[in-house]
Amino acid sequence: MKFALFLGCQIPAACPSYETWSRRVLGAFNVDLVDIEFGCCGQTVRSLNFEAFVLAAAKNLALAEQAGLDILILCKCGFGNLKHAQFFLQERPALRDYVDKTLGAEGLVYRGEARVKHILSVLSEDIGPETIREKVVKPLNGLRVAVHYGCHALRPSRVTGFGDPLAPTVFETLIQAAGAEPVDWPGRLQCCGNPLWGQNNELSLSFTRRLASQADQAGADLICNACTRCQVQFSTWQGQEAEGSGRPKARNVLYSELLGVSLGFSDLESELVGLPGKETAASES
Amino acid sequence: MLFSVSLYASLAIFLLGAIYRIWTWFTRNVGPPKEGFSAGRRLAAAFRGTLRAVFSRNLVRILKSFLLEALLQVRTLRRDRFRWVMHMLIWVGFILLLLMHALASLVTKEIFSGYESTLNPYLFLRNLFGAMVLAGAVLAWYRRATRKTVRSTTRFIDHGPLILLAVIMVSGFLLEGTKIISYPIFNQMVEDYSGVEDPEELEALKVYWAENYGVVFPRLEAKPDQETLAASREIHEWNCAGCHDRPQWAFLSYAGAKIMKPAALFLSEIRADVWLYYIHFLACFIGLAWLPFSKFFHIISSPLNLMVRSVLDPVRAEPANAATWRAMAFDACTHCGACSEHCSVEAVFTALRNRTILPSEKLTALKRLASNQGLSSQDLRNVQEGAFICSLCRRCTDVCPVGIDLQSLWEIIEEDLRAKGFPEPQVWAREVGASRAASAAAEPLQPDHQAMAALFSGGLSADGFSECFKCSTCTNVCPVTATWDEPARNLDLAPHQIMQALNLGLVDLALSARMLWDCTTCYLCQEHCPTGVPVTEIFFELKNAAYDRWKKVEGPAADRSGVGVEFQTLPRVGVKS
Repeated sequence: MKFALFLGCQIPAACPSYETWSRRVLGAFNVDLVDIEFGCCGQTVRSLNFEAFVLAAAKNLALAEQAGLDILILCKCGFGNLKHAQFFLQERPALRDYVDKTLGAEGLVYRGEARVKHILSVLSEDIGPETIREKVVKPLNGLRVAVHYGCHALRPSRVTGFGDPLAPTVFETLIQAAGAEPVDWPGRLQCCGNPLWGQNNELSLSFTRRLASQADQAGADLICNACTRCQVQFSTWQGQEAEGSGRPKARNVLYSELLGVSLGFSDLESELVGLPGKETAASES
Repeated sequence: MLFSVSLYASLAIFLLGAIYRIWTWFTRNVGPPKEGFSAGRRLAAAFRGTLRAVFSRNLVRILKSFLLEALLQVRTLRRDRFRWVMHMLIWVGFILLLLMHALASLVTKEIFSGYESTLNPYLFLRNLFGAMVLAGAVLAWYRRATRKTVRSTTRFIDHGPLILLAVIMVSGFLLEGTKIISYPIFNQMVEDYSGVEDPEELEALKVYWAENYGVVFPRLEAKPDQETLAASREIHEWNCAGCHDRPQWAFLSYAGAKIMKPAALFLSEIRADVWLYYIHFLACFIGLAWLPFSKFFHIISSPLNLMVRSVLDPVRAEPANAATWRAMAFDACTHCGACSEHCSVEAVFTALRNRTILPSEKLTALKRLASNQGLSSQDLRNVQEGAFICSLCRRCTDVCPVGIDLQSLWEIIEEDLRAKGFPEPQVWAREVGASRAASAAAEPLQPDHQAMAALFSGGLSADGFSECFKCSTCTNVCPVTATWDEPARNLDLAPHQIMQALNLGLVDLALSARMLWDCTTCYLCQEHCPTGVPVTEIFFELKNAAYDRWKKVEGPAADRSGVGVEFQTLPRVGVKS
């Protein structure tokens, strides 16, 4: 199995452990990751200019196609944006024309052939929970995990095709494969608040606060994300509000980290220092 | 006379300029004024910091950085071999020329006792080094002409120094070439250095030099026979050979001489060599005087920046030193464009053409901001847009060959502009919408079907909203609406009301609703809409349209700062808390 790895812009500066753990976890299942110098998925400009957004996303798709590879992406927002670009480029010939001309000037061609897959889909569809279960050496027995799906993979389902938008089970199945127990909680399909960060921080954090207390009430030890921006948002909230004021019990962790711990990557655990979730995950396993 | 006057004048300008440039490292403030320190405090802190670094184990890191990053330029080598070859050619060639040729009497003669500029290896090496610089300059020009992003950012500050380098090198080659073919120079050298006095011997020597050294004489006897040649060689070896190797070793100058040969007598008559000599040294002195005011200054500032970087942790360092280091960035930058070539949002620049999206241009704007050079409100809003569109991926910081901590400058610029009354585009657009809505509140609502048609003419989400049958499911599932007890007070319109406004042709009402900018884009509304209205997509299009329209109709942001909506002062996503 071979993919072009789309890291997304946030990982290098804000969430480097997501890259480290994901590479190790995918490596354990013989997924080859090819590094291409991708650019922005278009997220930063989507509210300001539609063409710029689609062009930025399409350039990445064209780069992957040039290398003859499908894209594996770690971030839900990036996933949604690339999927949207594919969708719009198919639906709107005038837009396709603009993109073709602009990319053509750089020697790139967009064909719409590259598949875009989120890491959760690769793990659940291409590798499968059974294969994962066989590799787990330290099952996270008794660890209660609140999975947080992330909006932009689920919705709009017509565009993203990630799974059932109203009652998805992919993430829970993967949590079980690592030996942990998914809890039922109301926030699993809700927004983390991150898209509003920087524009309306009060509103943004109110979302995160609500989710964290819901996870607490459901008796979760951890909130598990599979998206860079969701993870950064929960960490930001922990840093902004929870510190010193009776920090809520549920910490946030990335699925790659959680799975990595269960696969026995103890050498990487030092990377979890400072990241909430470390103590819980390690002590429970 | 002209030589020494211009030398000392350019040296003086160089020294004053360099002092001024270094002074700005301690006086310029990058970022909000609250972090300002007096120049005295910054100088003192820098002095303390330097002492601490030099008299500790950190010295090893400084030396390592100087050797590997400044001299061998491994940071460039790792990223871009072409650029490394190009730059090594220029700088190695130039430094060697400077030491061996320009400073011959101070350096080369002191080290090598038998130094003569007309002898090998110097004769050959001078051409080799010059050829290196020229080749490097041509490669640099080629890079700037052919690479898309660099081409779009190239200005006179980039071409100017390349042109000057080329003028210095080419005038040097031509100077040497005209001297090779020049008979007045020959006569003068015979007079100065040889013992030839007998006219017949002199004629014989001319024969030899015309044949073997390329000198062109006005009148020479017909083709010399073997005997004459043999005799003249003896005279040559006795008088000249000891101090003058064959000019063919100066391969480029000799090629130039060959080309000029048909015009040799004319060039000798007008003393082209003298003119070229003036051009050559004046170009050098212009370069020296211009050095502190051009990108040539990076010869000093970039290695310093790298060495400081090797020991300065901007987070833990004395704040005064961190401030000084930030100000150094402007001079350390060589405008090489590597950051912009690798910029993650380069495609967005292609679409929007706002130059400040690109890191190299953003840094230029930041420099103007920090040195209080007039930037209009329009400029400042552009800079804020550019800073906002930056995805903070830190690639620019990783690829910068001189190790400027660009990403933290971007974070500072946003904060600084916020403080100056220029919030991020989305915050700004939300404010403008709110103020327009407030001022229009008393007026009766007027449908504007023309504006509606224009708004959705791009065939974007078309008129998807016309499918809306007012069930308000979108509003009921919206987590933003659910946050407020009285959504209308905070959002102006709820999602289903925006759809309804569009159906009634109330464009202005829809465009100015704060709901648009507070939408978290979770797509719950769109997913749940029973008739398939692409609610979130329509919101995106309305935001695009509102942003465009506000940019056109609104006065500069500063004129209406403090509009009443408080914008946030916390850093945005990507900043580690």
